[in-house]
Amino acid sequence: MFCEAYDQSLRDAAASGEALSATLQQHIVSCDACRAAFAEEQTLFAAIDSVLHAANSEVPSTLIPRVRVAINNEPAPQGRSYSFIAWSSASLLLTAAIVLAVLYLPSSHRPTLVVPSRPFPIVAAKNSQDRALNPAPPSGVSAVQQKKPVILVTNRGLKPVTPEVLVPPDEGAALARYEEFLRRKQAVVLIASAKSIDLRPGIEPLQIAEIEFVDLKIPALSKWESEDDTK
Amino acid sequence: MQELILIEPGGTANAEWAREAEWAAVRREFEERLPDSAALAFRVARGVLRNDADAEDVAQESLLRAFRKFDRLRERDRFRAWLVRISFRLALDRLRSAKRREAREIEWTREQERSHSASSRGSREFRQQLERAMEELPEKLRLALLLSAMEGHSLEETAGLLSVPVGTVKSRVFFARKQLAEKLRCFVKPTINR
Repeated sequence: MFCEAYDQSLRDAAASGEALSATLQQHIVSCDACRAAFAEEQTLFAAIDSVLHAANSEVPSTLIPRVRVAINNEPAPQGRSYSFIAWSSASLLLTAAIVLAVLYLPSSHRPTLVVPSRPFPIVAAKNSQDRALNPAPPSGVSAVQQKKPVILVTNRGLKPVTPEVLVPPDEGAALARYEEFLRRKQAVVLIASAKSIDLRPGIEPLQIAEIEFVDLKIPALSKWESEDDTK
Repeated sequence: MQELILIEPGGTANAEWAREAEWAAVRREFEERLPDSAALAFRVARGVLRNDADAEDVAQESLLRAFRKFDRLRERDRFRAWLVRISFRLALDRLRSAKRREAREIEWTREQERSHSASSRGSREFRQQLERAMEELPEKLRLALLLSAMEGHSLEETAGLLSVPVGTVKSRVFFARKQLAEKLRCFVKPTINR
């Protein structure tokens, strides 16, 4: 058993196998317990070293001939196959091109399917005033005949734009007449196409009254203001 | 209209000859290193496996693997360090195989029985304890201890084989020996003092 003050130093000295420092040497000479403990420690490390040095056993004489035979049986390496490299490069380039095309294709060129949440409204004008106040879009007529939801192909990038036409005041009346003519013509075509569709039994074809166009009458602003004041 | 293609008949053959000549040079250089390398690979494997037959197998496999990639080794002076790592790794793999371990234990027992009378260094029990303690050492400490215990290996050479500074080798060997001593101290006293 080592003295407490020298315990670690003497154990480390025995483990490292290096010569003792002057202080430790002096203590060993003077302390019987430490001398005995140190001798035990040295014996322990000598035993460990003796087992470790057993790894330095003679190399078997058969090892080198065996390795030589194995080396001689090894085939010479073949030259690299350039066709494989070429194919790999080509396939990599193709993959990269496809990925880039998918990633960078402009979104306006990609058609998307839009399913409307509800069908278009059925328009059945009861009287001329309603018809005048609620002019039905021509597309609504064709939507009535569809049982399945209508699938529209739209361009995502484009926003609906209301066309604005600037005309001189004297040509405004002529333009309005032309617009009326176009609407009538479109309505007639849509009605004709609706009649041509085969309907299932039990479903009556849509009856659309004759279209009558009247001028929109909007009350004067001053009248509304006076009503608000009275309230 | 037909195209005329010029074929150079000697081109492919020349390339083939050049490759064969290069391969022969690699083989010659490897065989020159073989006696020294074989001893190193065997001793590293023997230090891990403690069995001559297994160590020989591992050494052969290590040398063969080293040979297959020898032409791709840029720094040829690092060959021994490279071989040590291959051999150590293969030896550890084999040691971990339960089947091999069992066979080795039987062989080891027979070997001990044969050499018991000649062995004056410690008891059989002590050896077993030491081998168990060695297996529990971290790999870095274990390899440093094995290489430094080999004949003719100075600390500098061990440091070169491990690609670490000499101070690191000293430290690893020191801690490895201390760990072994800690595990064997309680056991060794009655055995050694007997």
